[in-house]
Amino acid sequence: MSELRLEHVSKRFGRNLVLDRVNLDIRDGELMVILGPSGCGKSTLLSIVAGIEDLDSGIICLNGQSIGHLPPRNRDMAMVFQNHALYPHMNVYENIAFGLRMHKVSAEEIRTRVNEVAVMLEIEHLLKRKPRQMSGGERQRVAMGRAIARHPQIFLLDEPLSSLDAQLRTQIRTEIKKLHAKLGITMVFVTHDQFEAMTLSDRIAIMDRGRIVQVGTPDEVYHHPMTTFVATFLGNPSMNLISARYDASTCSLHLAHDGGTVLPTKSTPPLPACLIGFRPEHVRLEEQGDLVLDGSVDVLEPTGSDAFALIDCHGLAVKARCSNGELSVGRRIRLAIASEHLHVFDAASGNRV
Amino acid sequence: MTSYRRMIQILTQVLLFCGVLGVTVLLLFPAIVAFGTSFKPMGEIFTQTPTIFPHEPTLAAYKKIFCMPEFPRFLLNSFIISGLTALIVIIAALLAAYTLTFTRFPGKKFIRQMILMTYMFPAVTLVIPLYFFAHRLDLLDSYQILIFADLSFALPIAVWLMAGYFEKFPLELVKAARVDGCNPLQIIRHIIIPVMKPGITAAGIFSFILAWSEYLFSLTLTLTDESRTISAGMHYCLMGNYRTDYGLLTAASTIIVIPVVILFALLQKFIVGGLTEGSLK
Repeated sequence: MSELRLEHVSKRFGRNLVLDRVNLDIRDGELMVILGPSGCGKSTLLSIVAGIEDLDSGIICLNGQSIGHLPPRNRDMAMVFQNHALYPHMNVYENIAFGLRMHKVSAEEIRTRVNEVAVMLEIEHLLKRKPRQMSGGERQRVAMGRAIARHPQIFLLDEPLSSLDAQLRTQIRTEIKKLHAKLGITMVFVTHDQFEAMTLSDRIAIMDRGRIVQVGTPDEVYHHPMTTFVATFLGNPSMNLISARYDASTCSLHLAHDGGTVLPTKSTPPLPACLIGFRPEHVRLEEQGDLVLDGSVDVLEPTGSDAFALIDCHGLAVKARCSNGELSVGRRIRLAIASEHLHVFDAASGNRV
Repeated sequence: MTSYRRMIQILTQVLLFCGVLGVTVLLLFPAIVAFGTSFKPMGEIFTQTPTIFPHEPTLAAYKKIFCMPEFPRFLLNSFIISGLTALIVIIAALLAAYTLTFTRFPGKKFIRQMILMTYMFPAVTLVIPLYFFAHRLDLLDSYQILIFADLSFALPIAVWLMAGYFEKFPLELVKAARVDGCNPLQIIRHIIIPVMKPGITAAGIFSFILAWSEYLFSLTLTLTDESRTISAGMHYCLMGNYRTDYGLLTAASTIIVIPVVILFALLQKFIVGGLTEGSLK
């Protein structure tokens, strides 16, 4: 069993508050992805969990035991770094064995574990090579092997795929998922790539400016974003957000740009100003719907099977996904969105209503 | 067009080669003359038409030097002083450069600049203060004061040299080693020293050569043959008041240069970049 719990973890670099009271529960055997834009503090959070960085305040617990004060060697965690960080003067065997040697594992056991990992990751033929004699994908496998051989309680991965080319990234991503299923180990994976996060994770924790803004399964965070940040950060193209005003007397929303279209709503925003969100794939080219907008196609971006259209609805830019060839630039169309696909956010706080 | 470009390329190469050859000859010329002179019999050194190489080569000057009773002592002193200087420089510069590159503390930039500033004082200006210093501490004519004097020149440059190597050092390796279970000493031993081998070798060779060829301090801060290094020792033994034996002097110079050349030949393969290649990305 290896459960990790972070409570009110904060960290400052000088005057800059990098982590602001972060709370996160990671369950046994779970693959938790921490997703966020560059500079949001996700890698710092991972370094604090590993013990490479000290935390300013807060608690880190592994299986109920506080480990925040322990040096990295006593935390029983292994880490894969963004740039692999293989020791250049050691060959693959020595790289994998190094952590075990430092933990005083017997020579016999080291040999068994290195060979076991080499077979698992198909790197037996590379054992005598130095890092500089290998390709990016091979180095990545070795970095994974170095972590696996340790048999750690928690496996930390800091953007391990970001230095690989697109094809290799897909391949290694699949391998990580298989490996997680096979080993059943608790993994914390940090990335800024939403596609990686959605495809790999059991749950995603989304970070923004040092805070975790939402934790949930990929479906939950995608379909029920709790803030406008999550709504726009996930999805490509991102969610459409339209300004609206809430009329308490009729319990309805009026679009701000023309004031005309009226939407009945059950939720009550705290302030009249709010934002209505909907994803491009939920925009239908139909006459009838809960939210109906008229406009003309401004830009078309074919992606192969689909196309993304930017539609000008009387000064309002709406992104929509359609079939390739379904629309043409300049064509006047009517868009309809069903109410179950509409999200209402408070305009001031950005929180879901 | 292509052949014209090719011609320009060849011409550039030829000019570059001639330039390099010219500089090499210019630098090596005094050494070649000294080497040639060391094999000349006395009468041949001051001929009307000077020659580079001897007509009748002889080993007389070398035999005379090796028979000098002080010679082994000078050689030993030089080895001890240069070796210890290099060792201290390696340890101190490695730690200082690591700190100056990777840690944050107030006044870091100022300290970096001050370290380099110390190198800007000509050695001659330091002779008298160093003499007083040694006299007060009763360190005149000792290994310690010569090592101290050599360190004051070798260390600043070595710190800068090593800091340059550290700038290319991937800090992730230290993080990886910490996660792998290393304590700070194990990180230095297992990761930093092996990866920094080129920087360490360069700093070591530089300091060794600097201390080995140092002449001014050895001349002024030593009183007896007990601590005199070979360069100053040869000066005392060979430079007479009325006459200088240039055959002996050039032979001694050649002998002095040999250990440095051997050391450089043995270690130069380590002073190559690219050792960290492949550790990242």
